[in-house]
Amino acid sequence: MATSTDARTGLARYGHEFKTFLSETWLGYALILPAVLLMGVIIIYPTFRGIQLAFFEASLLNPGQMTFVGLENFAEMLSDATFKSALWHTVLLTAVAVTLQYLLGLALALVLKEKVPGASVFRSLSMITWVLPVIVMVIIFRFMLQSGFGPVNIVMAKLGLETAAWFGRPGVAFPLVVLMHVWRNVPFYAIALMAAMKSIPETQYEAARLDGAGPLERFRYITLPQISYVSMIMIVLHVIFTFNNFDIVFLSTGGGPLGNTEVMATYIYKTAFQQYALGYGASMGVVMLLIMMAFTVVYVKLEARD
Amino acid sequence: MTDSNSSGLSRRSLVKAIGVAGAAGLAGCSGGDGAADEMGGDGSSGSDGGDSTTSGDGSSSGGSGEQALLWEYAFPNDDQPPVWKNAFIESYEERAGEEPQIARFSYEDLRQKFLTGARTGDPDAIEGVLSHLTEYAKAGHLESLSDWAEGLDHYDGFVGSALDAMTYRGELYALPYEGNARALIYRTDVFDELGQDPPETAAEFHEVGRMINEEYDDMYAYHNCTKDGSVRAFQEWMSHVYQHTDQLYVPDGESWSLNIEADQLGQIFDNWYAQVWASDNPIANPDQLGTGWQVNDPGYLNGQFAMIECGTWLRGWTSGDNINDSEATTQLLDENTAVAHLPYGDGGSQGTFLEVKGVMVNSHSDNKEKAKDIAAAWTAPDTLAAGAEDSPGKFMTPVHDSVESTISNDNWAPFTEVFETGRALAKIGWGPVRQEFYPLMQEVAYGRTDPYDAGQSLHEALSGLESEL
Amino acid sequence: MATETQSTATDRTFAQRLDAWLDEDMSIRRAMAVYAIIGVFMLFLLLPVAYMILATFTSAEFLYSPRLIPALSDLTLANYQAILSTGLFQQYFVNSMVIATATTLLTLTVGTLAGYSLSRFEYPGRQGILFTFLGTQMLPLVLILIPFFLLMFSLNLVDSYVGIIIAHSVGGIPLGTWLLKGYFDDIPESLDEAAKMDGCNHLDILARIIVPLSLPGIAVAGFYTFILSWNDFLLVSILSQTAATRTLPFGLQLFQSQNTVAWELLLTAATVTMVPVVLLFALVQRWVVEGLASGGMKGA
Repeated sequence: MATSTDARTGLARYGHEFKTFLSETWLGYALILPAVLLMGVIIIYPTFRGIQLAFFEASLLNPGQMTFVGLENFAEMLSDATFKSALWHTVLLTAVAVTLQYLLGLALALVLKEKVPGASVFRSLSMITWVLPVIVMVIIFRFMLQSGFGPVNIVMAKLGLETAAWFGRPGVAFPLVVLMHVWRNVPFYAIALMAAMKSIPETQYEAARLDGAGPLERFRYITLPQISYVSMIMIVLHVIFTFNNFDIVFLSTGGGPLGNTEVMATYIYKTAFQQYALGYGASMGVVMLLIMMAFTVVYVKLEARD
Repeated sequence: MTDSNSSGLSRRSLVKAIGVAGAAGLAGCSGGDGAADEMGGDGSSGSDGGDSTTSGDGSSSGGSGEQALLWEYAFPNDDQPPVWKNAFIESYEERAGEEPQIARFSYEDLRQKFLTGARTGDPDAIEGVLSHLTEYAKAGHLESLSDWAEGLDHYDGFVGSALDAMTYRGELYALPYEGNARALIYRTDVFDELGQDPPETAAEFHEVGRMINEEYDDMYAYHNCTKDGSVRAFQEWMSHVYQHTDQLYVPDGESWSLNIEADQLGQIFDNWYAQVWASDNPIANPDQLGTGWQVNDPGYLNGQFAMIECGTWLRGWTSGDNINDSEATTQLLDENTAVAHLPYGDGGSQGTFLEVKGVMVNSHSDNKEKAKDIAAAWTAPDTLAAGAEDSPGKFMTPVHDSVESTISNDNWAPFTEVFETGRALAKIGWGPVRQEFYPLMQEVAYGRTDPYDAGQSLHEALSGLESEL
Repeated sequence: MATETQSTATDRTFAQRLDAWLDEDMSIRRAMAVYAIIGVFMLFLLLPVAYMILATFTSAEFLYSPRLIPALSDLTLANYQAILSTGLFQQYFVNSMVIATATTLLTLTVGTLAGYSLSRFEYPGRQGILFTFLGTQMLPLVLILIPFFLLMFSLNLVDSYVGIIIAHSVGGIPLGTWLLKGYFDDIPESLDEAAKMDGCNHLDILARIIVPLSLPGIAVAGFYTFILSWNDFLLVSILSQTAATRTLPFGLQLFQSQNTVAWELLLTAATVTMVPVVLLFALVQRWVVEGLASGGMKGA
């Protein structure tokens, strides 16, 4: 706030500052108004409607006729075996994928920040998998893994190994989905972590080297703590993205085979569009939201405490 | 203080800015549809060959001055000139005096978007398969065509069973344009060499299948669709269901009751999934578990399978993207392929799944007259004839008298007989039934569950759905 | 630090040796090691993409044969000719371009204003608004799919450029605002003071001082939003009713028809869909890295 050097005294000055405060506040609100308006109308309102649906029973074929059922939808979830397995798949997928992404991203960040000739070309190239539309990624993987003429199967045949329609194999489909998530997102971690590492002043490393610390120790005591904030953000963001992700699984396996890759998002979609059960689907969506909110709060608190 | 002056200025200018932006935004909102149409028109009017689908002339937004919007997936999407599509557009122009607006979506997207958004009034007309029609009708999204259709010139030519299929609770909800039934398609040269006749019963089918697998190294006896969620897989299963019963569910007052025995369901699982995929001597290639039509149809055409279950569309499929050798495939289809009824299990009889596709009118549309014109134009004899030229495979068992069957090869003639044993789906919402079917089918095919146990579970599950349908 | 190195056991010696080896300043050895690891990563990340691109220059016959590497004689531009001359494909490309660009502009504008507001002003509810924005990122889209569609319909925004642009923007605004706020926070308020003394009002400050200093942050936010919009599949599938508003990712599936998947055309279309965003990243790469490095991530 501007320091005013006016000569008014007492009430008048108070009144003037109050007016300034008001106009400043007013302006503050005004500036953020477009964003709030857009978000409020386009996202917040449908969210409330969606949450509201969770307490009703409604059919896709007749959404006008909603009947209030209170917490029944939530109770039904407890005895729904598919829900439990979908939840388990989602949690497992998120945990494994985010862990792998972080480790690989960290490794890639370490090498990308080196000043070798051509480094910036490699940096550009590495982001390709992240900027690809998901549908393109799925097309590439489906093409490579198709039985018959997919390159993977051609190579395996030449090596004398088994060939199959890999996306249709129960034990293989889930790891493939994890692989796709990792393949897609590693570069984002890498670039963000690399950027964070770059902002660590070289002098700190010098000082540590002079103290006799080796690279591993330098990494552990200088690099890691200073990228912990960015790491936390990356991890939270990606846990949320992976947990909520619909299109990667849906477009590649559809949740099969044998429900091996059924995640919460695809199960909710099927509940709404195959079983017409809008209310039940919405209730599962609410559960997903609650889980994510809980995770975020807990994780951020834990990190902040360090 | 200069402060208050400048704040005042900024306040005023901010208000002005917001006002202008708001007005522009609102104008943009209401003009949005018109703008999109014009941009769409400009973009596609410059294309050559097949694919411009929107008319160039602007349409003003709102009201009945708008073009009618049709959603479809039927027109061929290849390099050939769109004979069928142009015939349709011509026929429609005669009736409505302008061009239609056509948008193409896959069947799954058609269904999802229509169920979600039919109430918006878009699209005005939509084409689809029988199970879609049932869902749309149940949701109240379809306009009854009964009275209007009878007044059409070409109404009398429609085949009875096709019209029946498009009827729900006494009202006609679509005009049919294509019909086909599933039959057994098999390699005559393979059967000749082994001195075998095409199998009529499931037992014969298993026997000859295993024989083929023994004799031939580079060919498998059979393939069917086992992909989770695959529409083909569901249709194949229903073909066999219809060998044991006329209808899976029959009306029972206001609700429906299940019309098949657990044992029969178990048989179907056994004959067509357990024996085929999970037994010690499988009839299909277990490496191909979990695949759909993408493996099934081209696989046969490329000579990998001796038998498949398929419809008439296979006939003209001699070239294109997944055909290895056009000439070989043409020869295969012309000389070495024949058609027979699907083999049936114990206690069953000849029967199969009848697919009928039709054009429907959105009951929430503002443009119902034009939408009906679309339906009429699509099913008019001239249009159907052009379709037979463009996609002969779809018109081998035509649903309208004026269209000659495009069957030219005696080997394929049995399709007409098979068509007559076809049964159309009952008018229920098939979503929940499919939900129950897919997991159990996969469990049997992957060898996790005994087929008769699965049949029992399925029977229980399907009975449980009776009140919900 | 120095005290940590005093401990027993033989593996310590090895680590010491390893440390000493690694410690040598950018020697050839180190550069080689770095290149080797980069190479492994590039192989992992890029091989599938490279193969797809290679495949687009071959014909269908080659793709369906068991051969892996095409000979020079197998290469052809036919696929690209086919795709690029298809009117519908051109339409989709234009749509994607227009929508993504407009989304980026809209998001940056709204986000800059909002970020500035959150950074420089104090008013009740400030934290709450920011948290709510970020909270919307936690929403599973499937939950709001149908209410969202009905809302867009009642606003008359279905099947229009404006509707899709708005829908994409709300995906980019939360992260964009947060990033930009972090950026603005880093610019000292004393600059604001100085400007005010010179008679600038807030909008002037924003335009003449804050924005020019925040270009890397704006680059990051803009890039992220552009990618978000260009790659979106789900929202377009809901909102688009005709080819006039369809974008590339959703349009890709139309190279499959009822009976066939035209792999060589599909892969070619996929490649063309990919090229603009890759080029975009190459252009803004330096700014993005700089933007992320110098504190864009310190939002809260």
